[in-house]
This record gives sequence, C-alpha cells and structure tokens, in this order.
Amino acid sequence: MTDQPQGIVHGVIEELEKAPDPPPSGPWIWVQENLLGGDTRLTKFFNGLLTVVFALIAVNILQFLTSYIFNPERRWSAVTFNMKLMMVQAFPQADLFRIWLSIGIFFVLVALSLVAWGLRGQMSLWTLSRGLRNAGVFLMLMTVMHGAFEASKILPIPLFSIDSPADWSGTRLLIFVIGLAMFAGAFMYLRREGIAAKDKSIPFLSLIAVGMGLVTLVIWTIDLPIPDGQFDETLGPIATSTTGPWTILFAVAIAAYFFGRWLIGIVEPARLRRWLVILWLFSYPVIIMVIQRKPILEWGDILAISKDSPLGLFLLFSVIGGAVIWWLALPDSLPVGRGIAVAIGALLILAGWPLEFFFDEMPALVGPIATLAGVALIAGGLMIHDRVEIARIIGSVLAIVALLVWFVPMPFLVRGLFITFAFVAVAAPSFGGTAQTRNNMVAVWVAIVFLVVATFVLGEAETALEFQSTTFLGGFNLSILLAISGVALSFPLGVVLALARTSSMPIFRLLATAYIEIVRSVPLITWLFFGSVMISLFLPGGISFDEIVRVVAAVSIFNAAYVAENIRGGLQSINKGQYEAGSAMGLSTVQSTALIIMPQAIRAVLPALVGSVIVSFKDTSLVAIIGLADVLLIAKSFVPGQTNPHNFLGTQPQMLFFIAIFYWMFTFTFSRMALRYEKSLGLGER
Amino acid sequence: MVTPLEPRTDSGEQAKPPFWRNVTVLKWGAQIGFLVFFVWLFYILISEAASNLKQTGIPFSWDFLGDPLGVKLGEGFNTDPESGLEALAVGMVNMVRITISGIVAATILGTIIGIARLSSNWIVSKVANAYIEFFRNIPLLVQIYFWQALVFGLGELTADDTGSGMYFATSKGVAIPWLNPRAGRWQYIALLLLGGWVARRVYKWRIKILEEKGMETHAMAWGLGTFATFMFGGWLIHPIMGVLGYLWSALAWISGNVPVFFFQVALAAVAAWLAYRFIKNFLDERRTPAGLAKLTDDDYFRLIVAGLLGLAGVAFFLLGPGNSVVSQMLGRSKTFAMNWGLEPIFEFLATKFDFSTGVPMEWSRPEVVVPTRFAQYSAEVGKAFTPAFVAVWIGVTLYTAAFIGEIVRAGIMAVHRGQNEAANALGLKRGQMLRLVVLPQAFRIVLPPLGSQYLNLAKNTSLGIAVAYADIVQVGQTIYNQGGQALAVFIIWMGFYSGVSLLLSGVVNYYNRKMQLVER
Repeated sequence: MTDQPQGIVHGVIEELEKAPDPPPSGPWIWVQENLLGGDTRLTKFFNGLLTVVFALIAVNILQFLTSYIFNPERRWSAVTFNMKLMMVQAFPQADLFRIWLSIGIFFVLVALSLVAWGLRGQMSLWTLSRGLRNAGVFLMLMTVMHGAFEASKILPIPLFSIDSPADWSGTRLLIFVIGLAMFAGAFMYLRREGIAAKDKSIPFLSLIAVGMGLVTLVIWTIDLPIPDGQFDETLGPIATSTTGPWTILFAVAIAAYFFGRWLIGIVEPARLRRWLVILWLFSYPVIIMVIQRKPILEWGDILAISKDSPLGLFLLFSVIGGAVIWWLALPDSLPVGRGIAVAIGALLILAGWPLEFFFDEMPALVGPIATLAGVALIAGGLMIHDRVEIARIIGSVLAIVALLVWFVPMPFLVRGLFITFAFVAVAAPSFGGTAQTRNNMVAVWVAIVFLVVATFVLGEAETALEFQSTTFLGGFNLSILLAISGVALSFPLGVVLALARTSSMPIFRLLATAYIEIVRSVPLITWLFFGSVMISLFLPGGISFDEIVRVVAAVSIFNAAYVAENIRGGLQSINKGQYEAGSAMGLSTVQSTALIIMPQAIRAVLPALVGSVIVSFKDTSLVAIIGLADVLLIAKSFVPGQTNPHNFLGTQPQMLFFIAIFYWMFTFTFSRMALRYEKSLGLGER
Repeated sequence: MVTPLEPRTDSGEQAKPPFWRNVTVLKWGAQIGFLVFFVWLFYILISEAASNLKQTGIPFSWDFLGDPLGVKLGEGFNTDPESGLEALAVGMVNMVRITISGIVAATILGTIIGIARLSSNWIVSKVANAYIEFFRNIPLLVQIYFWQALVFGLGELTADDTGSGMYFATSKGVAIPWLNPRAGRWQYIALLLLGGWVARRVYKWRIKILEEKGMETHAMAWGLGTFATFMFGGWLIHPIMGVLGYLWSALAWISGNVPVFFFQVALAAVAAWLAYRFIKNFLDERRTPAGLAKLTDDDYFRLIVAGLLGLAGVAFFLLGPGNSVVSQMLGRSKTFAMNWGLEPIFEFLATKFDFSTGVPMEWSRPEVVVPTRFAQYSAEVGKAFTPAFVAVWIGVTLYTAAFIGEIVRAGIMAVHRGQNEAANALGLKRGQMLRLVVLPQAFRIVLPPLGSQYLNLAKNTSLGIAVAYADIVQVGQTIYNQGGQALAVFIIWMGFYSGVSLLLSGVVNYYNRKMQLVER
C-alpha cells in the first residue's frame, strides 16, 4: 500500500534541499491524506463529514445495484433467452453463419491492423495489479453488501427501498471467490514487488488474448440463466448456439495476428497499410450488401451486353468516361486538346447525340443545355491558350451537364453514373498531371463506376433470406449500420460545408452557415421524422427508398452539420503560412486545399471527430421512437411483450437496466480508446 | 501543372487579365451561378413536393392551425385546446418549462459534481467521477425510459391516500409542496421586476462610491437588501402596482383603435431606418482621415443586400400582406380561429392589474382527491408532476449535469495556480479570492461550452415524445397523424427550435462578450 500523497506538501526550504526521503506510506496515512485531509481542525472535520456522507451515498448505490441484480424476482433469462433477437432480430437461424462471418471479417481486419500500425502498447504490471486489486475489492463488496444491512433503514429514500432477500447465494459466492482471488493475487504481487512493479510491463495485446480466452472458458463452462422448462435447440439461448462460433472466431483472430506478423516480414508495411485501408473501406458495404443480405443475382441479365444492362453501362461509362478523364488529366498537347474541345462542342450543339443514346424520346431540357455547353466548349477551345484552363473549363461544363441530367427522366443507375462523372470530371484537371496520377485518375474512375453499378445491382436484387419482418436488419446490427453509415456518409458533405463556411465568398458562406445553423438548431428526432415521413415527398415520382435508407439519409444530413463545425475548427487552426506555402509552390487553391490544408485540419480535429462518432452511436437509439426495431426498441417493447414460448411480461425495467449497461460498455470502452489515441497523437500539446 | 506567369507588356507592367481569368468575375460568377442553381433546385424540390402532396389528396395548407384538435393533451396550461395553433402553443410552453427548470437544476448539480470531482477527498472525487462516467455514456433515451419505468414501478395512488402530505411519489407522478399563485400575483411579479431593476441601480451606485473613494461599501449586501425589501415589503404593498392596469388599458385602446395604416408606416419606417443605420455605420467604419477607404466587392455585396432587405421590408409592410399581418398582430382580425393579437393580451393584463389585495402566493401541501372512481392529485394545492414530466426532467437534468460537471472541472483547472498565489499575496481572504479572482476567470472559460450544453438540453427535451410528454414535437406529431400536414408541422418545429436556439445562444453570447478578456 504505497500510494503517493496527492495533496500539496507544504514544507520549509531546508527540507526541500535535503535528499528526498521516500514519502511515508501505509493505509492509515493514506486515509489521513485522502479522506480526512485539511489544514485546520475545522476543514478536517468537514472533510470527515464529507467522507461519511459520500461513503453512505456510494454504499447505498452499490446496495441498490446488488439488490436489484441479485433479486430473485429479476428474470435475467429474458436477456439471455432473447439475446439473438436483440442482436440481429429476425435474421434467419439457418443463415446465422453470415453474422459470424461478418464478425470474423471484423476481427481479422482488427488483428491485421494491429500488426500493420504497430500498436503494441505496454501495460505496467503496477497499474494492472492495482486495477485487479481494486476490482476484486469492488466485487467482494458487491456480493457482501447485499443483505449485510438494509441501507434503506439508514437513509429512508424511497428509491433505495427496492429490496428483497436474495436467493442467488451460489452465484454470489462464486463471484465473491473470484473477487477474493483477484484481490489476494494482486495484493500479494504488489507486496512482493513493491515499487519495482512499475518497471515491469506486459504487452497490451496479450491481455486482450487472455481476456478472450477467459470469455471462451466462461461460455463453455457457465450455464446462463434459462427460463423455466427445456429449450428447443433452434430457439435456444445464445449460450448453447454460440460457444462454437465464438471459440472459432477467437482462434481465427489470434491466427490472423500471427499471419499479419509473418506478412509484415515479406510485405512493406506502408503497402500493407494502404491495402488494409482499402479493405476496411470495402468491408462494411460488402458485409451489409453481400454477406448479410444474401442477394439473388440474375447473372444472365447483369452480364448481357446492352445499353440497359449493368455490364453494358459499366463498359460504356468506364471506357468513354475514362477516355474523357484521361484527356482532362493530360498536362499539355494543347492543339490536340483544343481540337477535341471544339469537336465535342460541335457534337453537343449538333445533336446531343450521346444523350440520344439513353433516351427513346428527347427530353425538352436536353437540347438547350447541350447547345449552351457546346458553345461554351468551342469558345473555351478557341479563345483560351492555356491547356490547363481549357481542361478546367471543359471539366466544369461536363460536370454541369452531368448534374443537370439529374432532372431528366432516365434510369436511376444512369443518373447516378452521370453525377459521379461530374465530380471526377471537375477534379481531373487539378489532380492529373504526371503519367502516374493520370493513370490513377482513370483507375479511380473505373473503380467508382464499378462500385456504383455493383451497389445498384446489389440494392436492386431481392434478398434470398427468409424472415418475418420488413427488413433483415434489426437489433444491434441495425444500430451499428446506422452509426457507421451515418458517420461515413456525412463526412464528405461535412468537408464541403466546412470549406464553404470558411471560404471568402459571401454567398457560399451564407448558404453553408444557414445549413449548419438550421440543421443544428433542430433536434435529431425531428430530422428522423423528416426522414421517415417527409423525404419521399421531395423526390421525383417513382423514386422511393426503404425506410432504413431514408433514416440513414436524415442522420447524415444531421451529422454533416456537426462534422462541418468540427472540421471548421481544424481549418481555422491552420497557420496562414501553409496557404502561402501552397501558392508559392504553384499549387492552385483546390490543390493546396486538398493536398496541404485538409489533411492537417482533419488531423487536428480527429479527437473531436471521434467524439462525434461516439455521440452518433448513442444517438442511434433514437430510431426506436420512429419504430425501427433497434436493440433499444426490442429490449424495451418486444421482449417484455412476449408471452409465448416464455412469459416475460413485466420485465421492462430490468431490460432497460441491461440495455443501459450494454450501451455503457460500448461507449465507455470506445471513449477510453479515443482518449488513449488522443494522448498518443500528442494533440493539444503542440 | 504550373500555370504560366502573366505575360508582361513592353512597358513592364503586368497585363490586365482577360475577364474569364479575372478573380472577381470568376468568384461572383461562380457564386451567382450556384445561387441560381440552388434556388432552381429548391424550386424543383418544392414543386415536386407540392405535386406529390396533391396526388395523395392532402394539399399543403395551414388550415389545421385553426381547426379543433379533437384530442386531449397530456398536460399544459390548457389540456383541451380549441385549435391546432393553441395546441402547439401548449406544447411550446411545456417545452420551455422543462428546458428552463432543467437548465437551472443541471447547472446546480453539474457545478457540485465538477467541484466534487476536484476534491482532495478520495471518495468524493471517485463518486463524482463514477457519476460522470456512468451518466454521460448511456444514451439519454435509455435513461428517460428507465426513469419512466421507475416512476411507473412506484406504488399506486389509491383512495386510501386521500388528504394532504408533504410529498407523494406514485405511479401517477410526483407531488410536492409549492407556492401556488393567487390573485394579485401579477402585481407582485411586476413589483419584483421593478425591485430587481432598483437593486441593480443601487449595486452600481455603491460600486461607484467604492471606486471613487476606495472605501468598503458592501455593494452586494446593499443590492440584495434592496431586493429583499421589495420582496417582503411587496407582499403588503403590491396593490400599488395596479396603476400599471391603466397603462395596459391605454395600450389595449391604442392597438384596438389607431388605424392599421399608422402601424404599417411605423414598421416600414423602422425597416428603412435599420437598413440606413447599417449602411451608415458600415461606411463610417471605413472612413479614414483621407476619405473613404476602397470598398471591396464583398463590401458592395453587403451594402446592396442591406439596401435590398430594407426596401423589401418597406414594401412588405406598406403593401397588402403587411396590412393583414399587422392587423392580425394587433388583434383586429382572427388568426386561425383565435384572437392572438396585442389587444387581447393587453386587455388580459389590464384585468389582472386591478388593485386587488391579498397574498400574491400561498405555500401549500399537495393533496390527493377522489373526484370519481380514481384517486388523483388536486390541481389546486401543491404541485403535481406527471410521470412523463418527471422522467424527462430527471433524464435531461442528470444527463446534462454529467457534461456540465466535466466543463466546470476543466474551467477551474484552467485557472492558473499563480492566480491563487497572487490573490494570497494581495492579502485577499479565501472567500474574496474565489469570488473576485478564481470564479470570474473560470466562468469565462466555462461559459461557451456551457452555452452549447444548454442548447443540447433544450434540444434533448424533444425526446419527451418517447414517453408521451406533450411538448411541441409530440403535439406536432399528433397533429400530422390526424391531418397529414407533416411538412407544415416540420416547418413549425424548425422555426420554433431555431428561435429557441437563437435566443439561448444570444443570451450566452451577450454574457460571453461581457465576460470577455479586454485585450490591451
């Protein structure tokens, strides 16, 4: 027991000049310093009083918790029996391996990332054993507390009087013994090693591995509370059907870690990291759209070569679009460029031929737009003598044409491809240049076309899963989907808004500010109502999305404003010299923003962004109000409403208790990890 | 990719760039182009929505504001509103009620938690830390559901409880002793407002003497004493505030009888004057001794927008729509089946300031009555809170207090230790040191994040819909479930919450500016 005194040590100067004695220690001194401290008798008395009052509060709360948890009236079987329902809702039992596969992909990616980014933190045995010691004391207290005395008689607060004798003596005894073992082991170790334990440490990862091993041990040995009667294996509680998968997953994770260790020996770490980032980006869409959704794909229709088939569109857009983008990204060859610009302009004016290809009858809007664009192209091609300028103007005109196509009736997929083309066309002149970057641009474009087409095909496809619900997503699975896609989709919009808000152009600034302030001033729940009830109103006839997609859109609209504010903070923290250095190197505004300013701004506000991820995870619970079956709604309404095969009526408070702890575990772990990460970045100290 | 430098003319001066490379032209071209595109997009979306609504058979309209609601509300100043607008007003008041009481409670609790977190007492700091980590990591909605379940889990209110008690906590809600208003409260409140103003003047006067003569003047005691005098003396002399009744009557007469055109002209004049003031101040700021500094294109943009807004205001108030808006504001014509104008408000106030005597408020204990078969809390005495109110109030208060606790802790820790030592060296007592040195500096750091927590609290009250608390979101949802006017209700939500946010952040910014460090 050698705690450092935390108070200010008042001492005279002579004492300071002496060689420092080790501070006196021992339990009694610790109590004096930390519980009864003070300079005068009055403050000491006051501190003692505070200690007593707060100890009573703490004891009462612990007593409330234990008497609540260990009360025989609690039916914790409602939790264990419905674990599958809460995690994945109606996901068919026969296809559950898809869920396990998703978790497995996540584990493998985590393990590989741990290797690739070299995150091998160390934990000192001192901290570890102190934590174990305190946790042991806490566990023992919790079990002993219950029934030791009736706290409600000391503090007659109605809240704390929910009590009845416990009948869980076996479980309590077990927990007590575990607590005692933890305490005794840690205490003996600290006693033996003393201060020396501070210098010894073990890798953090091995702790995680041990933790996973313990969980495996627990799920193989301990019987979870089950409702009265026997189980049907297919309806069985989580424990009977998950022991195998969890064990395999843990083994796979550990194997993946060592595979990563081997891999990093033969592959360059930077290369591995780049591939891992790509894998992370792709993993989630693939998990949701392919692995979990089990789409029925009509390969014959998809692979048909025609102007309407996905493959046909893919080839068409990647070849023609790729050629245009390759040309836009050329550094010079001025005369050729001018010639092509004039030619494209003439084509547009003459017939709008490329558009005719997609429509059976020519929409009214297309003619004038094509003519205007053509005039602009010819003017640009003939008047401007700078290759890059021409490329920029052509790119912008193409982008505007592509955006306007949104309002022309045509298949949704073609529309989406035009929109993405607009953005890539605008970006091409700024980010092309060398042969390498030009090829990259084209590769990126082909990848984007593939993604858009694949997303569309997968989104269109019916799912082969059989479930009794409107969607295969539900429970905690849905909460994760909402949290991840809400953040991921809001990020690009947030970046654009932040740039617009800090721009020097008043109209952009005004619009962005209006968006951010209005969106932020209205609560999320009204945006969720907007998503579930109103978004369909604003879409052209015939287009409708699933409710989950609409809710994701609403969440993204909402999050984007917060992301924008965070990034604005980062942008404002960038030194003006960075902008000047960018222009001194001859970069354009777009180039210096994308290559110099943005990376620094985002790095500066990463902790705030992580914080907003935590907030948005907590906020996913709000979809319970609009009736989406997330984990909260299931726990709060579905489970307490069950009467068959087991009666769980009246279990609502305890389900809420469980769900509170469930959310707490995730957010607390996540915020602690974020804190560690923030410290390791060393932000705020620069 | 390096843009070639501008060609130079023979004289050595840089050539003027052609218009398509002129930054100003490009900048404004892009902006105006985008604005046109944006407006067009907006127009398309709106017209799409209008045609979609027409197809569903429920065209967009505001008629629901005047139609009777047909449903009773859970709670509020009028649980059986006559019109949709009144129902929304009830919801707004309920929202404001929970927001203000929640802000007060969360600030007090959060400050205690934040200070406790810094305590040198081990157990105090650990308990505060556990509180913060527990409450801020659980979604608020879960907490609100939990409190609701807890309230419903309390004992039932039965006929056996009939009679009064200090408090009741049952599944029907919580009832506590309360100061119940009686006749004459309006006069008393007016007197208290007056007392507050006078106390402030007295405080400033004592401070001025302190600054001039350098003697201890006990300004705080003087100010509080003045207010206390008004508070206790007012109990007896509040009827004198009845003179305000004449003022209200006069205002009611003015809003009822002066021609509407007069008000229109006055408001138009205000709009014009505001625009003029803005332009004049703007130009004055840029007036250097040598004359007006060169205005940038942004400056011109601001001036033009200000002028256009002023013109639009003048045109609006002088033309037809202005006439109907102003006459509705005055209470000449009905707005959605109800008379919401100034005249009825002033008349209402005039009836309340009638020299009535008697105590303005009365302390009373809650009472359980059994009017029909079921026992309930009496509405006359004590104060009863519905389970929904209790759940939402406890939920938002405890949740926000955790965040405020962290903010307060950070604020206090950010005050440099040298400040304490300096205060000690000046010979200030501990209380003076806290009051005059540490707290003002901590307050300055705490205020901006505190303001954003208040905004969060105000927005989080909307979760009351989950437990059917009759705030504006729940009332709005009831309305659109009945009439299908979801879009109109959403516009009202947006307007109301934007207004509340603006007001709150306005108050916080005002204090923030007042507390701001004056840079040398």
